[in-house]
Amino acid sequence: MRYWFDLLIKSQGSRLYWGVLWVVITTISGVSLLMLSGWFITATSLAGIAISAGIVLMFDMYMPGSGIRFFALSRTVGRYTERVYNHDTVLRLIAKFRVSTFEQLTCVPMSELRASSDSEWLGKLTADLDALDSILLRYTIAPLAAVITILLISGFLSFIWLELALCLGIFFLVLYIFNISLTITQTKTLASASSQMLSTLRADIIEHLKGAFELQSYQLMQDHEQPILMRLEKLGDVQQRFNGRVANIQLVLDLSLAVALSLLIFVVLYAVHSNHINGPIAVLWVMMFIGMSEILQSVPSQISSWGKTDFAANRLKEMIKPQHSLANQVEIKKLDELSVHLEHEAKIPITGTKPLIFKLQQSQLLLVLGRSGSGKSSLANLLTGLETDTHHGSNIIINDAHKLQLISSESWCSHLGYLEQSNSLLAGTLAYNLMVGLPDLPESQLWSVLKLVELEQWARALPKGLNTWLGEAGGSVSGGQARRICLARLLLRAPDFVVLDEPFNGVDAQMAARIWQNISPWIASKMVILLMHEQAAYISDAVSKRAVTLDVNGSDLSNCNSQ
Amino acid sequence: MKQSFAKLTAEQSKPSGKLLLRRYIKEQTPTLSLAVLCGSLATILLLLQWVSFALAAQNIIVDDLPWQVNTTLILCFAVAVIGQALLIRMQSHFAQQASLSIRNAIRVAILARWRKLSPLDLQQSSAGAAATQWVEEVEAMDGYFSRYWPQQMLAVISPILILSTVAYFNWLCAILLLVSAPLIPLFMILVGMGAEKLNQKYSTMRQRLAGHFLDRVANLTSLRLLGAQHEISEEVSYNSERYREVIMKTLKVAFLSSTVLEFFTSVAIASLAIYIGFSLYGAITWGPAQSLSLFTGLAILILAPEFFQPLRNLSQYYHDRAAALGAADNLVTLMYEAETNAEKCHIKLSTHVLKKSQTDSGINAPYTLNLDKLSIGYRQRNALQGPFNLSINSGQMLVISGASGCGKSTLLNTIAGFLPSIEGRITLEASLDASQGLAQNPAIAYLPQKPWIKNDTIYQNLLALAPQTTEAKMLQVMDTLGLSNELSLRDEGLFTVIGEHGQGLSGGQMQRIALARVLLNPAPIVLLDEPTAKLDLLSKEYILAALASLKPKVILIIATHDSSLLKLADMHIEFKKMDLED
Repeated sequence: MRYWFDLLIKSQGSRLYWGVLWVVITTISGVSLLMLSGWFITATSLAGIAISAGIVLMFDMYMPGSGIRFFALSRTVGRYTERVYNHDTVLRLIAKFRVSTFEQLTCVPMSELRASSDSEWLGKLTADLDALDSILLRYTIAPLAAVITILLISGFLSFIWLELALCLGIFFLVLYIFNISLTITQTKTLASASSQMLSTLRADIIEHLKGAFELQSYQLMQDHEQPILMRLEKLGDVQQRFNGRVANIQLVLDLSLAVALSLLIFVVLYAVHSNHINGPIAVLWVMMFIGMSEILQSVPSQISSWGKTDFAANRLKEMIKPQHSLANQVEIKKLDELSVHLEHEAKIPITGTKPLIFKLQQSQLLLVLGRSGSGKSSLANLLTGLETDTHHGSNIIINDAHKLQLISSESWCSHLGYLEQSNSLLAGTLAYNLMVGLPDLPESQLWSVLKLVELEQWARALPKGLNTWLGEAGGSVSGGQARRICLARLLLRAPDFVVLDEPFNGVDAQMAARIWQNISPWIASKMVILLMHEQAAYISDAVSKRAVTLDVNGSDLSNCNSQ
Repeated sequence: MKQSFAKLTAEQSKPSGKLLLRRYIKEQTPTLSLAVLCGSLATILLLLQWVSFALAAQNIIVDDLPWQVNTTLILCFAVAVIGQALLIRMQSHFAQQASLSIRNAIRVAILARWRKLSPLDLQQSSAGAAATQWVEEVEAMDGYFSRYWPQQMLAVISPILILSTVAYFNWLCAILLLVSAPLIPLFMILVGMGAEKLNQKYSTMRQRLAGHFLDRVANLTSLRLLGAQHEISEEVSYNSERYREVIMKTLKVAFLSSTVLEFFTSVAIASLAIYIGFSLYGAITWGPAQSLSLFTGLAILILAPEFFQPLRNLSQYYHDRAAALGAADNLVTLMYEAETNAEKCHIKLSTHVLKKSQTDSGINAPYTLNLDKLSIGYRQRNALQGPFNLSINSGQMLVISGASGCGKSTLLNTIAGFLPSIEGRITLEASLDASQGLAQNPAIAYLPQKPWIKNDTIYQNLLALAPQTTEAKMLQVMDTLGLSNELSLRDEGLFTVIGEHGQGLSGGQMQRIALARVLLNPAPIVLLDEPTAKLDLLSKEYILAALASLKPKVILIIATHDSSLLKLADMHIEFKKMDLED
């Protein structure tokens, strides 16, 4: 959690001071309201009695009265301002956390990023980021404000009765800090354990439901519930223990305050009795204590979430930390030649029997055929650097000089155009999706690529044209259209090396043929690898003959050494 | 007709979320009442505490009585204060106990419901969403049961107790308190409505901004491929800033509602202080002012904030209520609505001795599956296939082929009981011997296209659907299916972890493990959906061999295109695409 605290202080430093100040104003107003009210009515009752006994007395009723009204107002205003200001800070903090998380993720090697599109992973990321906002409100501002309030009030009271003020001040401080550390140490492990168990139960339930077809037909679904129920019981135990501890800490706190208050009453009333202090002051002390205990009493319930926050912070750190550090990264300026030798790759079964070897140069197109399961996408991922785990006998060499694994991903990606098998449309407008990562382009260019993929008419018919937000009403996109938008996106760029994984998924054969014709000029000058699950009529015979197939029981196993 | 009537009555008896919560709370009412009792007793002790103090203060400060009188009072005070701490402890104990029990009950009920719903209905929502409901939404209800619900009661009981005491001392002060009490929720609601309107205004923008971060993280790989990560990083920063601005606009109004509470509380205390002060001074002579003394005045002053405290607590816990109601509404949807494929119709087991029904091999078959005038489909009036009649015995294999979408899986689902038939019925006849060990609802082995592989050891994966089997048998079956060598069974053997986090399996290996379960625990009826599609040759061979060995013992029904499976079949149905009217 240290990291997030540091980030908090660095980014929100000055706002922290103001936030604490407003809370202090609120709490001091609250305590002062009570103190002054108590003092006031005691003073007036004594004054009233004196006057009715005939003693002439000057007592200013109106100053205290105004003071009371003032504190009532300042408490309300302070509370509102404090809440608004501090929530504003929280939102800024969340923004900073998000940006920080995002930037960390951009430094993780591409091969470790596969998880980021998984919805479970994303769910955990969101939950963890959300849990961090208590860092500001509960663990930073509240404690700081409480300590300052204790010091200020004790300071004020030391002018009235020094020894008692010091005593109480120290008592409050010690009790407060002791209670915070007690809560943290006693509840941290249990809270973490509880979070962990909830996470595991979640995975259990998902698995349980995924097996519904098999389990229900076998009439074994109830049996499969048993381990889940057992885990639930354990969770119940942990939660009960946790709640019990928090309640006990609260009890200890309440008892300490109870005993202290009783002693205080004894002391001040005795002091009045022995004429050390006057009545109104005595009541002031008691009222002060009432106000202060309100601040202290919320500690256990507020701080007990520390364990949960800690769990979230640690899990978040694990999620965005790179597993392996990157070796010396090379940058390349131009891509002339790609040389591939793959053997015994688990995900590409055919390489188990015979190594896959080919060389590719500029203006060359290689067609790779393979049905699902043959490892097409794994091959694509290996070539684009999204997967780096290869057999020790395999290697992919660039420009006859560098191993692909050693090239920095930023440099490699700048030369690469990869159309992945699954569409990656972003939440945004059509224009945004086309131009993401590029500097601003004139609209004419966007229209011309849309024409190449036969989406021009569709786009012109959209409610806001290029500025229609995709995915929402009016801008809904079919699978084939999404594919073509992703393809169009690539056409706006000029990579040296292009990998197209099933580019015409969801597009009918005739349209595919036309689009292929349209983009042939763009493709002609580049180094291209085209992955498809079966031959297509529109691919030229020359290319088809030289095709590599990954199918294990396919007819031909041709290695390609194209010149 | 019957189905739609059933649906109608079901709709009418569907409770609201609130009602559902109340039903679950009912069981724990005794425990929750104990919590409320503790809270109420604590309030009584509170009254005792401050009355003692006020009396002592009066005695010492005003009346200047000798000290001894007050030792008892201070002792009384101490006991009351300590007693309160203990009662609060007990209150949380009972409240949390109740909350835990209720949440467990809800979770067990959800599991039971999932057990009864057809898997086709379960597929309607993602497993992740269902898990969120079971884990997180139910957790979120904790605050409602342990804090809000008892506080609801206490927010009525405590103020009444305090009000009566104040009224006893001075009725004017009591009236002041009484008047302010309802004003507070009233104003809070008014402000709340205004905040809601503002919320609606910015709702689209808020959704887009909120979803932006996650969308970009989910697509991070693509963004890095496009070289856009820096641009997007700035975008995340910019959008978070705009999100903050939008949210703050609504928050500024929403916070006013809690400010109203604070305002009225502070004003009430201030007014009381001034009224009491002036009365004690003698400046106010009308009404009950004359009867005020330091004792009563101080008592009222200290009790005033305590009068508002329950209401303040209640507003703090209000979020818990909102969260619980939201979760409860989802729960109602699950418990009372999710059935489109209602009433899982299990195959009706009719036991009577088979009359001379011979299989090809001339032996009396232990089971016969009868499909009488069966029509299948997903919608009442659109039969995908049928009606057809079929009888199949143990030891026989039925292959169903046809283009995708024609109803092959539909037939399997109907036989498995996951989908009601549109017309006709399915019965299983068992010979007297065979029906001895059979439950009323016979087990069926169903292997969907994508087999279910748990993130666990091979041992656990096999055990889940074959609970009576042994390690030795497992090893044998693994060998039969050619898996012993392929998976590194030498190292950890059956305790190799497979699944996402363990050893990655190929499609063929997963199918074979799924089939291993059936071999270890053969059910009378075995349904397979495209068992060899997209598999490598080796896997196919093993599976074919395994099916051939399984066939004599069971009724085998397979949906497939594979010609080699067709060769083994005794019966073959070909589904042709029927023109569906919409």
